[in-house]
Amino acid sequence: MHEFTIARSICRAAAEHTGDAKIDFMRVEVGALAGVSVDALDFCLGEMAGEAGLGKPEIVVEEVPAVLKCSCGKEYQTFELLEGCPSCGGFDREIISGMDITIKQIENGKERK
Amino acid sequence: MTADGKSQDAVLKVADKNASIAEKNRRTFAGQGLFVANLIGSPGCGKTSLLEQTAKHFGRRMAVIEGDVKTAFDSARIAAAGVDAVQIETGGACHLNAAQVAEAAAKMNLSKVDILFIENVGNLVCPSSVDLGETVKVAMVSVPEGDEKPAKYPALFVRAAAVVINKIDLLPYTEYSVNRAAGDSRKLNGAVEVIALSCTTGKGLEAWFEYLEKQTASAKRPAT
Repeated sequence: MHEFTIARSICRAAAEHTGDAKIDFMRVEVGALAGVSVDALDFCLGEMAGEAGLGKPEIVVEEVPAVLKCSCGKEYQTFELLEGCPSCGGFDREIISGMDITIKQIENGKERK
Repeated sequence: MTADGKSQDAVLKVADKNASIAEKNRRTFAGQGLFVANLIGSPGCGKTSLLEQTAKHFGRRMAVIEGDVKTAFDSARIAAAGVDAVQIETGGACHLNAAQVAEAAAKMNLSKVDILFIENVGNLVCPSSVDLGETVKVAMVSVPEGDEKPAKYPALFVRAAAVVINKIDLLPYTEYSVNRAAGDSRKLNGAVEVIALSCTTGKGLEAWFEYLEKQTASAKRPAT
């Protein structure tokens, strides 16, 4: 249950980004290899946003696939790390992304895109 | 955020305070020529037993930071094995953090130490994504836990440079497949070192010591 600490870091980063303004909407992406429970993080963010001065934003937390690059040259997305490359079946792969937690979108305008 | 408060896209990587302290630890450890292993495994997989056996081989060339939710039992075991050990009680937290490690390391005399072990809180989930500034993560599993652990906890095993499979003396009594656990570990990280051993019988420990000697030698070489 380390999602509480991560939620605090996210809220701090968001508050810093907006100059402590209230926001309406925030979308957070969690990489498939981040080692974080999406549900727990969603819950913690909901609890902490107000305290961090962000108001009562709508919060969306999404798990995104890892991006791997295989030695055969194929770059692909997956949630299933135990499955080989869709092109050659191999496992000699480099992890391009999937370990990060990223704030993808913050909105405080009245009109949402 | 734009001045008129209109909606906008933001891409903000969340790098918490822990990450910057971990980087500082890493630089400090590298400057000392220390090889630092963050040992991560379930409660009861044999982390402290492995360190006791390792202490018999390396003696005062190694030191240990012990993480537990409660009690100093484990640091007492390590100290009894004759090496320097500092206990961190997390008081409920499921993993160690970089600041705790920095504080513990500052209390130790590491000038003659080659290997610093950080025994994390027994847990296969939370410690895997919290950087302590270690040189490598070592994932530890044991035969009675079942051979599907690497498959079930990929976030740890993609990050682990070495996987230790302990309690192989119990293989005759279980259906555990070392090949499956090792194979899944290699699918998750092609460069991983897999070492199967028994802290009870001592079988396989030589390979573990050899791995550590190799890592220690490369940690001592100045970075180019």
